[in-house]
Amino acid sequence: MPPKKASPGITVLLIDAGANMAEKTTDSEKTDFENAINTADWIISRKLFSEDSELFTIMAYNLDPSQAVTQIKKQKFEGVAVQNEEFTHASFDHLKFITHELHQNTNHTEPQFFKGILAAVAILKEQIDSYPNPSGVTLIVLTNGMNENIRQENYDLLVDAISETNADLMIIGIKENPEYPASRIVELAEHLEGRSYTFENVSKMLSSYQARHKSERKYNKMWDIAPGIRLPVTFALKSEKSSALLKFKNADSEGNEMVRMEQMHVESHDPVDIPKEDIKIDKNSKQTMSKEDKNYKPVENIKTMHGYNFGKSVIMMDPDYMKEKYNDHNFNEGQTGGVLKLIQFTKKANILDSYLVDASAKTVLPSLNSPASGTTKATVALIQAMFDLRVAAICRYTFHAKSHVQLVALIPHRDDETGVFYLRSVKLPFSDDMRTLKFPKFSFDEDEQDTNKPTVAQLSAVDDLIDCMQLKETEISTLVEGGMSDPKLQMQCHFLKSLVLHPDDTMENHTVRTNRILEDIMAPKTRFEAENSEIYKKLGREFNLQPIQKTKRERVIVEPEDLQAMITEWTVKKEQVVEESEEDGVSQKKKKKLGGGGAKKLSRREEVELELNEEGGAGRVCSKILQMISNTCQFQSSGALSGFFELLVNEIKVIRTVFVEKEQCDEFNELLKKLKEEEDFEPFAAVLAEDKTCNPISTSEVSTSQVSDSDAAEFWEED
Amino acid sequence: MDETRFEEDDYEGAANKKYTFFVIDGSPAMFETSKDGEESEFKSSLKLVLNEMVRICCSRSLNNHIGVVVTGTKNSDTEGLENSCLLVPMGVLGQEEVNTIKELVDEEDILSAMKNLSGGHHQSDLSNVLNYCKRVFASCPNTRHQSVIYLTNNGNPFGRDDFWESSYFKRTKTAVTKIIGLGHRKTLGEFSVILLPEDGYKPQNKEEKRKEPWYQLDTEVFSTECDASARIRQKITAQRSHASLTVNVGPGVTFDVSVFSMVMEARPLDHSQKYTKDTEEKIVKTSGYVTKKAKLEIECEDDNETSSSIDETQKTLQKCKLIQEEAIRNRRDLKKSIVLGGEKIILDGEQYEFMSEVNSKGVDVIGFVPLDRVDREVSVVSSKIIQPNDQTTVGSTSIYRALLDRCWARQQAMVCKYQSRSKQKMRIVALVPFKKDMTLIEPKLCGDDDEEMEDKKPDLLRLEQQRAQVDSSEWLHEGFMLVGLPFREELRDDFRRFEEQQTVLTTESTKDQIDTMKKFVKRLTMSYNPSFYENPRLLSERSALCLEATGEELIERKDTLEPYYQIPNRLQRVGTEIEKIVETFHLTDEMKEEKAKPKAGGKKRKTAEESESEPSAKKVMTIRECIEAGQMTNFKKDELLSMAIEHCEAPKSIKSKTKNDIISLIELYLNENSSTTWNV
Repeated sequence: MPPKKASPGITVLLIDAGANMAEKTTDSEKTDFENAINTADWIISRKLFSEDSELFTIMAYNLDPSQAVTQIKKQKFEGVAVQNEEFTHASFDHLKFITHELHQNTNHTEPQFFKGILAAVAILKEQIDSYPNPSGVTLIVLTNGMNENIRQENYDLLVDAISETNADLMIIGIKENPEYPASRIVELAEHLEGRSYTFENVSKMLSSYQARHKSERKYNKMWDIAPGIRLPVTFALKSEKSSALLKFKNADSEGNEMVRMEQMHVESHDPVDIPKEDIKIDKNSKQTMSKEDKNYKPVENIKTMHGYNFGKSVIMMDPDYMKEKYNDHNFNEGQTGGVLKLIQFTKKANILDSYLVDASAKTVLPSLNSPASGTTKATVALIQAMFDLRVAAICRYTFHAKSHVQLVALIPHRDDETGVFYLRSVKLPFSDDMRTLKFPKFSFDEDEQDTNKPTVAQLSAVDDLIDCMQLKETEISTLVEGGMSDPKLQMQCHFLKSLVLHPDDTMENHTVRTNRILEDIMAPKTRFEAENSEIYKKLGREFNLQPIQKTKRERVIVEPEDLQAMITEWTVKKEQVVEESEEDGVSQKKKKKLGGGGAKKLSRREEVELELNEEGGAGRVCSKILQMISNTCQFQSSGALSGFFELLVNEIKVIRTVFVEKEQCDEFNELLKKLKEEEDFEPFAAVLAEDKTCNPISTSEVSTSQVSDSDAAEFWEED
Repeated sequence: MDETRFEEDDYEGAANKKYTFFVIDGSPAMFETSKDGEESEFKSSLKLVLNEMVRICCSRSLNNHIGVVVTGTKNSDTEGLENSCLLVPMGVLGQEEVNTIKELVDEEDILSAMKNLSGGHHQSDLSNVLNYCKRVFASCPNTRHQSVIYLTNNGNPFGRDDFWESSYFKRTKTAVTKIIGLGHRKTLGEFSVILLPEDGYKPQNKEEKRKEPWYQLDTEVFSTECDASARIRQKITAQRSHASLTVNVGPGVTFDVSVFSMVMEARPLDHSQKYTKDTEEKIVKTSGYVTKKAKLEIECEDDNETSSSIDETQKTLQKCKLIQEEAIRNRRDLKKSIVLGGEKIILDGEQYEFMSEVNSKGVDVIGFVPLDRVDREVSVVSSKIIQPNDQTTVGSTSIYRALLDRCWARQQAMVCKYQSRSKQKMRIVALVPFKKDMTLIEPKLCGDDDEEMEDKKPDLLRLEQQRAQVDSSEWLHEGFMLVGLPFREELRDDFRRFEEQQTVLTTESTKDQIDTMKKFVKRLTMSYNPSFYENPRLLSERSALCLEATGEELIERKDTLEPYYQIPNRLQRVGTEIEKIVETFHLTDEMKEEKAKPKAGGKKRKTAEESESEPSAKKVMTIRECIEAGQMTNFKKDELLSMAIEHCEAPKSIKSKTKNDIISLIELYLNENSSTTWNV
């Protein structure tokens, strides 16, 4: 155990801003200075978004000595600038400093590498004095090392100074096999057991943002394999679907954190049994509750029943009774730390891919608390035995003393590199979790007719495709073996960074970035396509793939100007029709509705009201609008189409209002669900999702509604 | 972002209804018992139907509509349904409907009970019943799936061997065709015949099958893939695809597929709706988003006051008021904030969405990799399968099959960019081929350096796999499985742990030790498929619900996950092997030692049965056990404080922190210092 808690690591990033940095390394379009800034940017950004605990400051040297002078502990360093003498966590201030404030010194001045390092060392020392025992000290120098001439006595001084701070020296920007004088700096790095890299080297390592460090979440279990035989094993997370990698909080427009608040109460239309005066709570506003017909009875301390659905019947169950008789349906034995108990072994082949339910795997190894014990030896031997026999174990599993029981499979593996045998734990499904699917078959008995059998030529075309589209080793490790960072994280980090640093062109900048990410992912394919275009032609010929236009309903192609004309026409017609009687033909009504968004809203509303009063009217109103939307969705998308959609959205809103007034809701809510879920309505659903005001009617609006307030509010949410 | 969201029953919503008619043959032969003591096939049919009805009632979805008809009755009260009795009209089931069938099943003399209901037997016309079903289907809205399941023990009701000539058969065939429909776009129609008894005669080859009238109407009637109840289930739960997507192989080469979930966790029964016990009034929830400050204010206030009933009322009112007047009800209207690098960044909804929006819906093939490079166990997507969809692109099935055949033969997987909907998370996936026939795999030309295979004949592996298939044919589908490949953030590197193992566990297992274990493993190696194990929690919930709804425990409540050693004959099977293990690894000493040790955790080392009754709180526990058991909150703040200072190097100043903060501080410390622990 460490005697005293270490303070966070400290790093100085020292950038060469001298005229020598104007050079361009071969085949690079950027100057070394630009490369240095870019590298520094990545180093800081990665730390910033991963919320690294390391403390930072940035310095620059080879600046104009007449302008930049830094004083550290009475020592003056000319031509050296420091972003902040206080070390802080990586922040946007650091980024602003290097991107906005730091400029290259174009005048040729005396090379200052020596001074720069000494200044950095001085600042490191000062920091160590006030916060002793940092968990690491790093000095990163970004320079091409040109034009530096370090005399031997200075060289020795540097070695002493750096050694004194115990700093790891890292030099970035010196090209490979450097000549004198840059080679001197490499020598220095080697002498101090530091490292030196070219800009290219590091750009590969640094070109993506990092997520916060995730906990490794290890936990121990005793594996009961027989009465009295308990094998100690340790679980650790192996893979897991990532949730939000950056943690956003809900906030109001000032950025105050918003939290969800819920209040349970009885809602009835019984007379309110609380005197009206009591309802005035907030003495300042002196308002009474607006909805006086609701009976807000507290329910915190009264007994409740749980309503279970048995089909359409609601069955009341007493939670106390459930607890007493069924232990809340929990079969956990209540053992502290949960259990892992052997149920059976089975051939590994019996664990089909299609059973993997949890999208998460864990690595299970023998615990190392008492390596020499018999149980540990038994664990190791058991895993190897399972591996040799290609057998997996199926176990009863509970995480802790209260969690529900689960079924896990422990599948034996052997690590290629170390030869260590280990188990992989995956959750197995229960019988109810498996879906009973049925698909047309692809294998046929001899006496059966096989209509879609691929021809020899087709198969050989596919063989060629497989041959020419083989991924390279590096691509496999990126794409298949988890080498790629989540594009979503990259996009979010990039967006936030650009929002802070260049708020004006964030949107455009972001789109460019997103496309780059997609291009990067598809890069291998782009290469295949360029190299082997003829194979795709061959495939195309062999298979003759033909997309079908939806034939059931004709696709109507209308030019925007036609649409405009139609809208006008309908609006005019509508106005006429309104004057006429209610007994219109269906087709006329349809047209009338399409124009219903404008000034005649009220009359349209009355119409809906009338119709709702009829028996089955609610269903009719909804199916009509659905028909209209469906027709409209068949148009090819164009600017004018959004005009139609707008009208339809208004129409839906009107219908909604009337439904709420009439205390009806089911048909309307069904309508919305349908719009949201059926693919046919996708273009229109997109408009509604954008609009977000057309939510299902919730319980608070119409009490018979099955939709809770929160579900209604989040109806169009995608997350 | 959760990709399973669209699959959930609740979300299928009203737009996705399934209608099923059970039609039970009511002819006299159905009431006869072939063997003494066995139930009649009519009763078996009713039981099958009842089981399915109960199952549907105990699910979370209300989308399954069911009707039950018995044919061959004298009376009929239903218009358009001749000589048949509508036991349960088409609709969502409930207590009443289930109990109607249950009472009938419970009758000792079903025949006379039926007679009372329907006035006795009379010949009826199946085509008439089917036409009735079709009319009912047509009158129902939002049909996704319409199915008629006919249960009978009559192999040929059409009266003659050349049944195809009979006008009765022709009529029936026409009616069946109408139900199946000729592909009205989204409605799946099915007609299935369950021929009882289940173990009756089943023709094997196609020639013989063709001679059977039912085969002409339902080609799956003789299928042995699954039993009657499983077939019924298949027919009732129409599978809707998770997404329909276009696969882009390369320029000019695209085809269409549908994605299906193979497995989906069945969630516990919904009981979120609560009622007051005395008046059975519905309890509703008012909710909204308020500032954290406002919430704390309202909640703290009530700590100081004495909680008389008026105060409770006040508090409730106050909260409701706050929510109604000040809260933001719609999550959409909220902003998002994050503090990063010293800046507080506030985003509006639009920016927040735009920030991570990618529009690349579909499947885009990037390239091929050898199958053994894909670690399927670390998939971050619950298992899915893709199937070709010829309805939108002609030729999809051909290219799909050609890819499947060649990828399977060459053991190659397709790596693709995958996005199921435009706003869903974009992923990299591997499409992993699967075919039942292992012999189609071509031997690799280069030497196989996979050590696992070294000393094993590939044939043996194949045999094992082939055997596995027989056990699980119900869930084995040919095609490309979709494996969600993890991104870097979703994967942990085990390397350091393996290294640690290597350095700490230096002695390798001896052959003797491994052989001992092998004998043990072999004895307990059995076949497996998911139907072996039911979710005990769901089973228990359903059992309780059923008991309450029907007065009978129609579903048995049991723990199906018992460890083998609690089943006497299994334990017996490995008796000697266990002794051998104890001997080989010198476990006797350790076991004794453990029993002698009265201290920390000693009790949990007793056998499972004994330890259950112990009240866990009174045990001497280690702090780590307390955390795992979730008992940290049972400590007083002072106790926690002294532990934190004594064991966790915490500064005295944490006194000012809240109890929860101290708990998390202790937990954090223990996480970081894995060797630290103490008794409490």
